[in-house]
Amino acid sequence: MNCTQAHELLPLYAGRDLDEKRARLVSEHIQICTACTRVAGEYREAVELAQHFAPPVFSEDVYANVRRQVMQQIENEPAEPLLPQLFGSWIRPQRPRYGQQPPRARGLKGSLRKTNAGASAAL
Amino acid sequence: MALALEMPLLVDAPTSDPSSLSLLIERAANGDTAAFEQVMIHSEQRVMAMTWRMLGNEADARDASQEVFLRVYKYLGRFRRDQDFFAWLYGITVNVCRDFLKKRQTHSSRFVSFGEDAGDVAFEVAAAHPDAEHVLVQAQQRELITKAMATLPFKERASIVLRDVEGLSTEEVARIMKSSATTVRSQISSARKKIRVYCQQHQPGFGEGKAR
Repeated sequence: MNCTQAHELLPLYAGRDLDEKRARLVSEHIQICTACTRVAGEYREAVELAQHFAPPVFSEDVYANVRRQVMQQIENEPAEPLLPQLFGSWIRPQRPRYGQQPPRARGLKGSLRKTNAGASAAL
Repeated sequence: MALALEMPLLVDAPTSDPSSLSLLIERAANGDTAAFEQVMIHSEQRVMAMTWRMLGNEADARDASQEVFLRVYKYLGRFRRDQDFFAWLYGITVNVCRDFLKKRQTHSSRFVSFGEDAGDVAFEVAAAHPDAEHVLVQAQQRELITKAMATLPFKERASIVLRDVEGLSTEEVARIMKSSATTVRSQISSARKKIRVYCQQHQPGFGEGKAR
């Protein structure tokens, strides 16, 4: 393995993301190459630093507020249909989704179209 | 905003007993809102941490976390028992954060917030601490990695956070990102290269202690 090949693999080597064979090749190379040893150290430090990417400690008030908002919205909105209702919908004609117009039969006029729309809306 | 200098432990406060959590999930999926609230308590620290890491400020992290839990409630009926709940939760969190960043067109999917004064606050707190030097080094490291992460595009940031911060395997990250392990490895590699370059430019002597 030469330095160019090692440089390509070092970011993954540092995080133990290489398969055994390639990891061994990189390992053998950095034992004899000072420049790549230095670069490997930098990647190792980058991985360790990433593990310190911590958010601030949020207060209990922050969490409680999120929970309160979520629970309020849940109470104000209809729940997702339960499983039996979902299964039921597979064998029943689909009702139009919220905000969508019911399906229309092209070329049909007058009372038939109205009947279709009425039937869909009732489901 | 208070800045913590110690790394918070992301152990979920109430209990980490998986059987009690799956019971709560099952009850919540059947419409038990009290059980759902407990599920939130079990997972809110992870979700807030993840949304903050992806979005870079507390206000957006709060809003995004709220949206995450609303989606969890909506789709909990589709969660399969053989799935890992937190992996499923991370999947929703990543999607919500992606949607959030899309809405923030001007930010071009990079987080820019991360309180510009965070470093100053850290130094003030560090100065008042008995082990000031150690705390100061930690604060500097946190500031450095936070700024380095801010330079990454969304997918690379999400992959590196899930892999290096949350400690998931490449395969798990790939499932969450709905991508292949090869693509995730490429994103992780690219992210680490950028972090290294950023740190080299902004911290003299970076990596010297690790060269063996």
